[in-house]
Amino acid sequence: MALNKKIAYIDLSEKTVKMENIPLEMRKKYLGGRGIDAYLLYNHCPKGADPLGPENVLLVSAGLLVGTPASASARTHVMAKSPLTGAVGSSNMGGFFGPEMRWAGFDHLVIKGKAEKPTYIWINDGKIEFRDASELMGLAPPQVEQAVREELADDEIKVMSIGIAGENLVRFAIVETGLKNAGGRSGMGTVMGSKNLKAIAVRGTGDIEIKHPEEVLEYDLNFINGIVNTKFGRIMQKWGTMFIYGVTNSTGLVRVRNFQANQLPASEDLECENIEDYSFGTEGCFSCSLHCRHKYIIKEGEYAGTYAQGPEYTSQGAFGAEVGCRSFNTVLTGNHLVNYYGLDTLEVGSLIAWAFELYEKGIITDKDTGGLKLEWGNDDVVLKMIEKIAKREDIGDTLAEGPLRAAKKIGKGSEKYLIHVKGMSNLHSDERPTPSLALGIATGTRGSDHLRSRPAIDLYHLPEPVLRKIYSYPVPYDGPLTSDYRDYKGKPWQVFWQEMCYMAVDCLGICKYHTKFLSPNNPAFKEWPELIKLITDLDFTPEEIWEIAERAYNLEKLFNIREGFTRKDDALVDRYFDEPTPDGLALVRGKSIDRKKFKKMLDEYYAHHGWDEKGVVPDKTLERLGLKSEPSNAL
Amino acid sequence: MARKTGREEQVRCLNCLERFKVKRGSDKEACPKCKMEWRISWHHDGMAKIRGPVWNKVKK
Amino acid sequence: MEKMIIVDSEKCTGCRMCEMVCSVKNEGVSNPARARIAVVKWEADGYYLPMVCQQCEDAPCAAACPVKAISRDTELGRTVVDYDKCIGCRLCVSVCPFGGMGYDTIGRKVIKCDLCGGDPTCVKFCDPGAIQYVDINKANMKRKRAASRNLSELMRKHAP
Repeated sequence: MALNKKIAYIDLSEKTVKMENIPLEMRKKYLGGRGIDAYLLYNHCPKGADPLGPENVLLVSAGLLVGTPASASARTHVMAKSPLTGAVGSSNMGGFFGPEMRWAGFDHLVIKGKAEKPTYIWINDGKIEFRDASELMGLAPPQVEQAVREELADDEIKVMSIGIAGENLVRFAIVETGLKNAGGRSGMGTVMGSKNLKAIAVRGTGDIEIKHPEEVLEYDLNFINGIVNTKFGRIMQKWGTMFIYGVTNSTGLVRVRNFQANQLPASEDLECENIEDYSFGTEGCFSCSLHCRHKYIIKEGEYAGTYAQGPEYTSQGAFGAEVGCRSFNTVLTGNHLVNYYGLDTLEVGSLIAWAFELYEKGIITDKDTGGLKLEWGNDDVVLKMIEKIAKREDIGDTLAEGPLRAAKKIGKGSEKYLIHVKGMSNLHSDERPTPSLALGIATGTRGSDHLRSRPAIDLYHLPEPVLRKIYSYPVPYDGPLTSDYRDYKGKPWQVFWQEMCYMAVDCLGICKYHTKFLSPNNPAFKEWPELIKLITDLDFTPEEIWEIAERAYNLEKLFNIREGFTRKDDALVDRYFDEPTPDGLALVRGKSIDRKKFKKMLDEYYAHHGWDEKGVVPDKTLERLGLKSEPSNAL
Repeated sequence: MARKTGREEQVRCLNCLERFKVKRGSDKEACPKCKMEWRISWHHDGMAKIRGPVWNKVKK
Repeated sequence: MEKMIIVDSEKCTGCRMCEMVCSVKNEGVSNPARARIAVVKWEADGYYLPMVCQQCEDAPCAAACPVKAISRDTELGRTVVDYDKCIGCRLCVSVCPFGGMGYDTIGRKVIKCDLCGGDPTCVKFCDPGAIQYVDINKANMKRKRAASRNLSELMRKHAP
């Protein structure tokens, strides 16, 4: 049945594997996916562990509903202590790896130690073995997948692997499956690299039992229609996340030249509509009807003729607006390169833009860059920088250490130009005019985060009654809610609500685009219980799902507190407060975050969570959520 | 599975946040309330979205 | 009105929803190994081709069957396996040119698409419309119209 998938404890040093059942109690408390992973991280990763050392634990999981009739029930969650931030490291990827892992009989992998030689793990219908990966070193993730399929003579094997960036321990290396399904943030690929683990290959032909098959097919059809037949569902089907640029850059919500501007004028060539000249179709993750990534061929330059997938909104920033480049071909090429080398698009883009500003200000020179002229709008240099970072050449070696370490190495006041939270860079969104988005990135457990708490619907100017209907369910809320995204009132609750929503969806293994992220009309707490019941026969009320999300989120917070993170880390860099926006539409021009109002938002945000004003989790909240005896080592 | 979403042939002005109707197939429209001009793009059956501003008309 | 499943691979996004709902409908589980349809992926260059039993009129599987367990259902235009007669020799699996006949190692039986009795589940769940269930008499007309579109525009352009 859907609940009989196992947890495997894998020790790469000892070369041992231990398989256990997952107690029903754990499902009731944490559902699965990121929820159970949060528990495992807190219980298995010792305080002060070296993220690149053998005692760091790498967790890989498929959510509770992965591989079943939900919608985009495809997601794999990866977690460890982050080599980039030293805080919770967590990342989520689509594609087909998660479902295959469940058909192979496993929901959770707990990987410790370090392999003596390059290794890959082979999971095949209930069996797990260690295999030699020396022939795979140096290969890009899609090449690894192909090589493993050839070696094991099965075209249906799914592989999650790292590229050379992960092998070189670039601190923001990704894990990837397929051509572009990346677990991108917080350096999960780096952890794999540090364990000498090049890849995990999986193949399964087992059942995932569905408790009520006829009823769930009927329910699922309506569930899916409720997502596909929304304005944003249809937009995603056509353009993917790239449509966001049309909204944000037109308004003035895009970080340009590393915070020096908030809009890139005359950038028609970066708009999503350009994909039509390059695309030959779209692709979807497992069981997804939004199929939000394009299949395209690069047309110009060194990589002309290359087939790649995407690109995401992040690439329009990383290889476009952030660095003042205006070439769609560059966006397409940059996207291909980061997926090929196995790098976080976002981190790469942000660090390149930071390096460009440092070069502009004379803090770094040609000597540091190996002769490359880091000048805004220079497409060739931007693309070359990606390779330099992956291979740790010249300034690439410094940038490969991540924002804080790189700034420490460069010195000369370079740190004050960084745009980061807790040592992880920020998406190319400019949050100065949008307090809710600013609060969200400041408080993310894995650092600056636009995916784990972003109330994107705050940008839609929805009427207050509509907002209230969404945000006072399943737990009551009668505080203020404001339609204006420039307002501060009510935003802390929106951020908190979205955290719970995204945590729940990460526990279920469903894609965030299928909940109340980009569309306010998508399913959420009201619709999930029936789905869970029809598939697993487990009963949860919407309030119970909320509580599970809270419990798991608090474990992430407890992990960070244990590692020494405090309220002062739930912060924005000074530039957010000191430099008002120079560009954009009248309604966002001249905006900066108000320090006093931000402090008040943070106080309110902590209060909603049941934390004290220092951001510490008091006993009262621990007891309410059943976390008093953590770590409890039950799994 | 295709059904109408109810938001066909209309967009929301990013400047004044007013929703307005756009002529089918049109590639440029001005907001009736604030007069700001927007380039429009189309997808699916009659679904419009704002592509971006008319840049040479944007105030510096 | 006799219908057939027609596949338009250009529309296929490779999501494999069809495989999942097929196995849920027929076996009550999610397991592509027990689905009657499969999306064959050529991942190196991005082509996804849903492959399923073609319900052949003069089916090689029916001809090969030593116990005449496979026959034609003219009402629904499908080829069906009589499991009371089937001995599980799997000769049909060997002879099918499309791989349309499979073997379910958990259910211990040969499996092939039976059009879900006239209401194919995969068709219901395919939003891009890569798999459709259409009237056979009209099946190729849509294709012809789509293929002629460019030429018709050229003609309009050069109209006197």
